[in-house]
Amino acid sequence: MCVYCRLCSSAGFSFEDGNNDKTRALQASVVLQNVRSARQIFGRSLQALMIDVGSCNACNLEVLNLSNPYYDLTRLGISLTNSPKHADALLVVGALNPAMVDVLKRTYESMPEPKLVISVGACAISGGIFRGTEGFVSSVREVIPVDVTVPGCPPSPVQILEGLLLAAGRLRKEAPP
Amino acid sequence: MTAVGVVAGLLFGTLVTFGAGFFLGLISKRAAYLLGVVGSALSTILSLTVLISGGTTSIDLWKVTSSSFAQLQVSQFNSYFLLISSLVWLGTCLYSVKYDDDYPKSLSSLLLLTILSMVFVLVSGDAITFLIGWESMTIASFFMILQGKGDREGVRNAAYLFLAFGEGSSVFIMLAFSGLFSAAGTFDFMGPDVARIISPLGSWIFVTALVGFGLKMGLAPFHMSEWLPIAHSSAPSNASALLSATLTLMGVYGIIDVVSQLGQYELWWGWLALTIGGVSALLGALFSSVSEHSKGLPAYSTIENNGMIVVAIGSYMVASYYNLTLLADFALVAALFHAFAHSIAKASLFLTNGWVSKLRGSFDLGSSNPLPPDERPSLGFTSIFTALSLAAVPPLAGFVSEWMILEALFQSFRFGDLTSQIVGTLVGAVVALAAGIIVVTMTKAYGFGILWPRKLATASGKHGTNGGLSIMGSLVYFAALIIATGVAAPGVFLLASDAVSQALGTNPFGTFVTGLLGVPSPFVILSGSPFGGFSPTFTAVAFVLVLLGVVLVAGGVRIRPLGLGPKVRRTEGWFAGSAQSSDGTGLYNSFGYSTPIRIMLRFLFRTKETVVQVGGVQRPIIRSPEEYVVDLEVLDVFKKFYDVLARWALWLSAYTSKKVMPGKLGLYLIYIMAAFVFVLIYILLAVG
Repeated sequence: MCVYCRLCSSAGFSFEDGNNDKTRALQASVVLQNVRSARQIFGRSLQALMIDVGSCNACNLEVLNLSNPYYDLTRLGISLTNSPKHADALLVVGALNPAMVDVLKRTYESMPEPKLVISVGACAISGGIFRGTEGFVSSVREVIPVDVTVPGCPPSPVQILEGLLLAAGRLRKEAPP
Repeated sequence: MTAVGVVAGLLFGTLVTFGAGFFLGLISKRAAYLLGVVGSALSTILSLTVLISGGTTSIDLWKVTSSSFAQLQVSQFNSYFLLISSLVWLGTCLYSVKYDDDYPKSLSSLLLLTILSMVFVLVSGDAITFLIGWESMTIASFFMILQGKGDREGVRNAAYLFLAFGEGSSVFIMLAFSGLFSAAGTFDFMGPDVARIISPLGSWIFVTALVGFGLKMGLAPFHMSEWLPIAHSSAPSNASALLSATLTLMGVYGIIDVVSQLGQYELWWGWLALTIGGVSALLGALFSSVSEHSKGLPAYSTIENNGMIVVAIGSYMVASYYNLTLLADFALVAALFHAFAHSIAKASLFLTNGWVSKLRGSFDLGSSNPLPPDERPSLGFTSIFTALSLAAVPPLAGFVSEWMILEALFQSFRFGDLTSQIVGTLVGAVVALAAGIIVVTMTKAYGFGILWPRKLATASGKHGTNGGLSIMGSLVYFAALIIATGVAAPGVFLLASDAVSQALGTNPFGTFVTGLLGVPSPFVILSGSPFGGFSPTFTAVAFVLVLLGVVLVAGGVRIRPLGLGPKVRRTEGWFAGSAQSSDGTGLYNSFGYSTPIRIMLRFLFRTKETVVQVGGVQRPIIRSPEEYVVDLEVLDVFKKFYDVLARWALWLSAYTSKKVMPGKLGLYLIYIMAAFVFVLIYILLAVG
């Protein structure tokens, strides 16, 4: 469960931007403004790659939980892949540290177009509790374009799932305006 | 019938040209190879003439016993094999003109001497001439292997191993011939016109012949004789092509010849041939797929293909035993067809790999030196046909022949008893598995030999070593042959049926090659009545059309003005997020490609994993991948067996020389006297 540190709200990210529920995933996209097109492009299938750019392992665990029988992301046509060459979506977790900047850029470059980026957790959004330390570089969206952010420290699997579905354009009715 | 004079003239022309080439090689290599080209062309014409017009021409040389002559004989049967060999020699000699510029002059002489001996083996009408040719072929090849570029110790070992296996083969062939001689009463049994021999010695003749010729073909327990001399000594590529494509063909020729002399088959001979062939095919395919040596890989693949040929021969024998004439004929033609398809494709693969190794400066398929970019397109184009043919992809030569062998095995259900049916089916499954594994091998040979690695930032290949007319001419010639053999398969089928028509009593061409379902007459090959059938020619046409369709419609080609074709975005390769190294280390290579097989089948390969620490880091726990490399070593278990055998033999001879030989002179003289008396008594008894 989220510790409600509210550290997601720093770095220019605001919960008040049309989002009443403080733990809902937000569409921060400039790339995929048109939700309908994402739905058309990806259909009901999404291959996601998770990259850890310096997390405390909490977000990793929650992403891992997506595969368990309770959340079961494959029932929604989403699966986790191991290579960016196969990936449609990139799940970025953790506070970006200097060693991972190039890796993150290279991973993003290696993904085929069109591609989605979902930053998961407070650290990926703003650095979270690592903000201000020398191991933290910047938020993920300053390095690569981010389509959807999923707040929380850590976010629950349901939130991550929601972020994935939102990015894939499959939540258009409930999506924020 | 052609005039005897024409055939004799062509034969002597061939022999004299190769002989002259042998002597000329001591002066000029180029001239010798060019003479080799001329000689091969002559023998091609000779063999085609005899195959098409029929008839047997014998030329007596001298009297051996009261009833037999040493003679040269050209029949349809041996001219089929002469045709295959000549086609290979033609390309090899052409290739050698350019390739062989950093080997001693003796190589050209030895190459032509080997070719000359092979001609003798093929056109010999009697056992004596055959053995003379066989021996000189072995010895000339031995010296050719000694020219290899590996380390001296390895080269010597490999050459002597080749010699040992070659002489072993001669011994067993002599044993087989002694059986044939006692049954036929004459040495003139190499020709097809000799009446079939039905003898209580049949089993003896068959088994010794299978071992003798199997030693040369590299069949399963003796497959060392095939891969080791070529791979360990890194023998010159033209010599390798000769050894692997045509020397083993002599074994195929011999075994089919002996089998066709025997009038009646025992059932277990067929089982033996099927089993040995199946095991060879599977072992050859597996070892080929994990080989990292650009010569070792094709050499192992030769073992696989020769195994398939022996399987077809075994199928022929079992079918003959049950009087299944149709199936027997088809299996025998399949064996001959496969010999044709394999020889030309294998020669081409060796020659390609030889040139590629020279350009890349390494015999290692996993080498990180890329091909020079200006050589890549032409080599890639010619060798794709070679690799696809060996991987049995339609419509090329290898597909037609492998299809025929598998179709023959599919019809194992026709065999008369349950055991034969089970053996036939199991061997069929094994051969199909081998044919599948060889696809992995050929993708590896082509992918890592030619395509990978692509140009690297710091790579500096040897530029300007363009193959020119000699190399490229030869490779294009082979590619054309491979395509032609596939597309015009009924033509080769006709030649193969002509070759065996005397042995079988009928010409199987009319039975198996017809028209069907609107496809005109000589374009469909049937495999039984009624069983399977397909038309290589029309498959080829359909294949090309489909391929064109895929390329044009699905958009392999970009047509810019119309906006057709795929969007292409180039990115770096994926190295788990790290940057691509500029020197090629850390690239995915051929070793990585086949390591899963090494690990999965470690019980077979005896894969040994050793961790080598780098840079003198000595720690109980290895922490980072920079500190160590893991070396996987694959062992041929049979080599181990022969090593142990060799050690025992050495120990025994050392023991004898130390303990027995330095005895008293008197005892030694008594021993000699006793031996002499024994021989005298034996002769008296035998004559009396």
